[in-house]
Amino acid sequence: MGGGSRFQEPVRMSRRKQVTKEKEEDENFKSPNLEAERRRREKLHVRLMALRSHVPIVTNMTKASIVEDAITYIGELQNNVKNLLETFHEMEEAPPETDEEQTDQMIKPEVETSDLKEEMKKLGIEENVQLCMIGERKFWLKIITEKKAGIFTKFMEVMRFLGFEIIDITLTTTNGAILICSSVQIHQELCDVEQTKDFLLEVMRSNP
Amino acid sequence: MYEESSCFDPNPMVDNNSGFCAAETTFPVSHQFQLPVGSTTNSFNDDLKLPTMEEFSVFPSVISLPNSETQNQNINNNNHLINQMIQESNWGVSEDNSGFFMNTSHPNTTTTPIPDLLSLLHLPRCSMSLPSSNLSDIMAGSCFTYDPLCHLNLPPQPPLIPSNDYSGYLLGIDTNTTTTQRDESNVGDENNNAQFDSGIIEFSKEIRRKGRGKRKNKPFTTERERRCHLNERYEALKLLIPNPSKGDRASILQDGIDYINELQRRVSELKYLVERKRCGGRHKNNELDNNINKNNSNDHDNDEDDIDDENMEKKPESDVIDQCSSNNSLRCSWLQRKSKVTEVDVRIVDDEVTIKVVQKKKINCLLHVSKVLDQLQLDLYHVAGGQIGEHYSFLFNTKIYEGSTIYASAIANRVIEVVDKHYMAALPINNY
Repeated sequence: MGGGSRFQEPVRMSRRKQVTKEKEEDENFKSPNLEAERRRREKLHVRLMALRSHVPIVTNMTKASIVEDAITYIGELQNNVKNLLETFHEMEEAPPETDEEQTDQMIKPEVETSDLKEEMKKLGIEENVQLCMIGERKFWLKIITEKKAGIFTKFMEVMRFLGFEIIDITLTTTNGAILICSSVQIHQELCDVEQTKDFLLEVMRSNP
Repeated sequence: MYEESSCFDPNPMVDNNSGFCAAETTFPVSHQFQLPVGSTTNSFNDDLKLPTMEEFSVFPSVISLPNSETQNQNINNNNHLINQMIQESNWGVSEDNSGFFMNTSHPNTTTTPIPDLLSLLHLPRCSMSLPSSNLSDIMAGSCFTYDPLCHLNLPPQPPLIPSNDYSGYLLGIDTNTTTTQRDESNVGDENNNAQFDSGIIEFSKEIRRKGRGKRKNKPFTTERERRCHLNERYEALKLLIPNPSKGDRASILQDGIDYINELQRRVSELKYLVERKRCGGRHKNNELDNNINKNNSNDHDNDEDDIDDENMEKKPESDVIDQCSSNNSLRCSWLQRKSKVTEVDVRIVDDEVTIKVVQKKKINCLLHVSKVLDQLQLDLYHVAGGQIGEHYSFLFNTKIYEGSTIYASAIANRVIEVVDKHYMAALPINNY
């Protein structure tokens, strides 16, 4: 009996210890998650309140109705956008006022261009192209030219044509002139730098 | 030990009558009740989750239990206390009352399992196993006079326990990775505890509010229905949002907020444009120009800074868009569009448009973007950007031509469409 009980005791003890330990572990295990869970709930709650604050019409203060009201409101807004777009497009097509504006649009850039040219001359900005090698297949390119409509597109077309890959680019405009600085990477060896420069200048100057 | 699973099914299905036996197949019984009687509550708690509140038949049923175990003094005590509790709480005895422990239907049920359960009822009164200190208060408030029941982790209303998978109840570990309500559901304890927190809190609210009767006067008869409905609402909201990033509730809410803001901005902008078109012809642009020029010098920097500093959560100030004829208002709008490889950010202040394009793959888009800008009649003033690692990032400062009625979303949509198209086209070739 004694032996039996002695045998049993340690088992029971260990089990108790184990269970106690489990309980402690459980407690320790529970609390950090508890905090996380609390924070999560808090976050959810905050966002729910924020959502509610954005929605003008709120029926009930329950979670479900907040979400539902938001859904209705979003639907409403989407409808509004759709209607406004329709109205807008109808107005676009409509009346003579539009025509006037269109002609204005066409006119203005041209007017500006001639002004700009003069400005450029006044300030002594000259057209210029520079092309320097800065690495094995890297070049630095600088172009100053007169600003025109669509000049950037032209520039990009030329880049593509020449097989120049743009690493970075900065383009600024001032006083009727446009300045483009760019580092480019090339794939094929450049045979003649001067020739390329001339070519670039010519292209940028040309009228489309 | 408790071999027969059919007797005890703490996972009631919605259909109360049949519920109690239904989940037995999902029930790994074998390890469940292999608890020594003297074990502490925790392990038992983990394994045994008693049913939801609508099955409060627990209590009346428990009363029906002791028919076979009168020999157990503990059980008698428990019963007494349970009786007291029942009386205090006045819960109606539901028709499935008898189903809970299935004593009546399973006469051959051994008495051994039941003493296990009930003996646990007699465990020391402390809610130490419970995470929430509110619990005892709430339990008290809701007439739970018998603390040890807490040890059974009785979640009167666990709103967060998924309704469809009840095996989790029994395993005590929330193995339900299919939880739709908790996309970040992790280990069971945390979930369960949380469930108990809010569940029990909610339960007590219900009790205080509704009295002690059945809550048939609510639109949802069961808690489960309420949860399902709430989930549906979240899903519906998620469907409305254009690019939901993550699937979890908090993100859905956040995306919803952002989307509402964006829609409001777009509505404002369009309203402004429509108004301007309506009265723009009459006023011609003179007045507007004067105002704009005046405002440009003063407000332009401020506005642009404001916008640049804005987070997605904030709306631009209300003075921005107004009737064009009435006051010197600056048109302002801001949009973002994201696709898988491209992000486009369009900000308009008055007639200046700032477009930021970020491309996550190294496809050169400049040519196409410049073409788009030409089409949209945007006058390019400044471009900066280049290659950053594997990405391309560019910033375009442009001006809207006079009289052009372009709006932000049009710009953004067009740009991202073109860029993506180009990207798709370039994919197989892997050109630059």
